[in-house]
Amino acid sequence: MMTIRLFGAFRNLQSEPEITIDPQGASTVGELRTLLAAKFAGASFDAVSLLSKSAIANDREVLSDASPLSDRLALLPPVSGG
Amino acid sequence: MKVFVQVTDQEIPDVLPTEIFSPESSHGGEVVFRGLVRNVNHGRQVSALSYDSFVPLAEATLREIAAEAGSRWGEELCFAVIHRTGRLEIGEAAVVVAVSSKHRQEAFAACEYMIAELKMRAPIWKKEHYFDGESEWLQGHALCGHDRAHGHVHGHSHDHTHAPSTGQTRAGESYA
Repeated sequence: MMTIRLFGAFRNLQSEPEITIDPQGASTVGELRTLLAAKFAGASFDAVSLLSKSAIANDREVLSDASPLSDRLALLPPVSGG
Repeated sequence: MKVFVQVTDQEIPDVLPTEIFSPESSHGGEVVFRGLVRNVNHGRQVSALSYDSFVPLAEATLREIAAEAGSRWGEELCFAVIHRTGRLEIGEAAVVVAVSSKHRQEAFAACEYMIAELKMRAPIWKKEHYFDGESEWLQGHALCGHDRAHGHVHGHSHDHTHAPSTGQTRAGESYA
């Protein structure tokens, strides 16, 4: 199982700040996106559309879709700091 | 180059303590930008803001931006960048960027670069609270994956320019 931390509008998905997901053989960030899209399909807002605009990162950097998965990642919607 | 970055739920002091920001004795200017919570956005009355952040990556990104600014405007620059998280009331400082340099032009330019790039690249999110009781996460700027060894690599396809750029406003994000 792997953990995905949620930020910004993704916090509207649930009260907990992270989700646990079974990678089901997925080995790359791009494949994880497919799993997340399926998981978000029934959300109360258009989380699938937001996912398509979002980055996936570890503590140090934003990852490309070809990057291998690790146990703990973060889902980052478009940013609006400042 | 001295760089202090922090993403914190603690109030930002009006005057930064010297252990956070202390210009070199050769520095003739310091520029401090304070971003404040304002009471209106797009014509809607705002009662408060909440900020969320992925803190380790946000702080790493701020350090990266400061390093870019140092390479452009001088390795002797001093930086302090602090961004708040949590709920902030109208008038509170959400972000402070302080830069000192030998001459003012470098400090103004580096400070503008820091805040502009922070808004585009730091994993920080803003939620507006309105007087009617509603609240809303603001739309923002999409992040993309960088591969430092090979320029950059997009995690997914879209068009925009990348820092370090010319310091000008970036081309618009182009998600449909």
